[in-house]
Amino acid sequence: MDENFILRVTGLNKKFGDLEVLKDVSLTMKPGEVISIIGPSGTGKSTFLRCLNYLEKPTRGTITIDGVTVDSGHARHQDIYALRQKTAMVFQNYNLFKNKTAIQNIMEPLVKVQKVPKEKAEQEALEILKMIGLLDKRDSYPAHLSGGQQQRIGIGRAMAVKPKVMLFDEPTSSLDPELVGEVLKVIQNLANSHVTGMIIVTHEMSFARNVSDRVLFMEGGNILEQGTPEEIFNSTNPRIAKFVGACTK
Amino acid sequence: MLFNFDYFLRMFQIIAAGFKNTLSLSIVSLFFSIILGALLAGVRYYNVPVFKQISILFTSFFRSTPFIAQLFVFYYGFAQISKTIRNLPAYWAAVIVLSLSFAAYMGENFRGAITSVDKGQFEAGLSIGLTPWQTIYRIIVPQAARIAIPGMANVFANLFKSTSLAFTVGIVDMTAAAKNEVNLSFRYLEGYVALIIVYWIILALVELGQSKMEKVMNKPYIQEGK
Repeated sequence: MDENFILRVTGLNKKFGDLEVLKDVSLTMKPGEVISIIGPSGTGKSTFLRCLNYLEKPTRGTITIDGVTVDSGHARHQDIYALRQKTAMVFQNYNLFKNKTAIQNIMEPLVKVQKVPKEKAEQEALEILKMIGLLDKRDSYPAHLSGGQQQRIGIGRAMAVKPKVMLFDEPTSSLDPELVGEVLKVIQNLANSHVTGMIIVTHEMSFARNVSDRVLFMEGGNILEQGTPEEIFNSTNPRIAKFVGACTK
Repeated sequence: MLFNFDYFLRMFQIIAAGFKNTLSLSIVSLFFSIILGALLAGVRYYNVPVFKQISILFTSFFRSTPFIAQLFVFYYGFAQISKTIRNLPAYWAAVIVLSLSFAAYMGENFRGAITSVDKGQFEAGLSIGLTPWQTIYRIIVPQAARIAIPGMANVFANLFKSTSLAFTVGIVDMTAAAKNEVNLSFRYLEGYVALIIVYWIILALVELGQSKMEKVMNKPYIQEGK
């Protein structure tokens, strides 16, 4: 097996009560790889992402990210924190810290987790604000920003974590249609740079097709099929063909 | 003369003699009720076994029984069986019962405030690598505080007024000062009207402070120009 991996998941299983949401999912990811996960709603895509940084504790399975391994059987707090520092998440509802300004949101992981001195953290945060095109909103609170702007700050905050794997949980699903473009552009730029691995759960099919190195199709808690965007979007599997057809109409 | 205006004005001076006790009773009890209330809310929100049940029972008891009966049971009742309580100064007995009683209301208020903060805020904190504790005091508590302020002012108003019952255990607060005076002069109307005005003015000032504070704290959360 390819040893050059940044993330490896083996036998990831998640049950909510009797409901088995993830059925022994395994995945290996190269550094800087961009993976999109598509599939119908309620098939465990978001749960899979949330297990990767232990926002949900997996019922079974092992996760390794950049040398940090956490096994759900004996997950220690330190390991979970270490794992979370290797990842960052962009949420469907942005989840910006509402009591903090744009720049404070971005500085939070720098100052409080990485212990970067304040002045240096501010410089880094300004760089990030420039990259996402929101330098003029540095002192705005989330309530004063549009959904698109909030999500771009959300991506900026995730960048500040300097993760090895960035997790996107339907990042454009809550946005007004006219604001989707500005957010996708930021993600696209990030994906093109390949500085960080990305796993994107999305319903934006053409975006997934353009941006990804690999596409996973998930259904019923399993990865039904995976491959290059071309392979998945031209799949001969009737289930996938039907889904892709319905979504790209 | 039906209403002796000069005497009415003089009453304010007499009431002032009890001001220090009223103020210190209410501030000290406020302090303890906030701390205890936060604990009561915390163990319930985080489902800490045993403590959660104690919190529920505690809250139910203190919210559903009259404050003055609580005070009497503690100060006069327990004094029959405990030497410690017998030797306890009335001031501290009043502080203890006020703190316990109003912690129950504080706790319910805090619990509502924490619950109102979106769960996503907590997850976002964890997702960037903050510890749960860091997330609570840097993200959750500041947002909950804003929600809790009006309720806290409300609880404080009730606590402040309840200090007037401290005269029943022999503390000379503003109410006791007024009562002692009018019992001699029989000028109840002047005396108690003056007393009521003092309470009203003080709590009106608290209310003013509260609305100023709310304005400042709400600013980050409310869209401008709308």
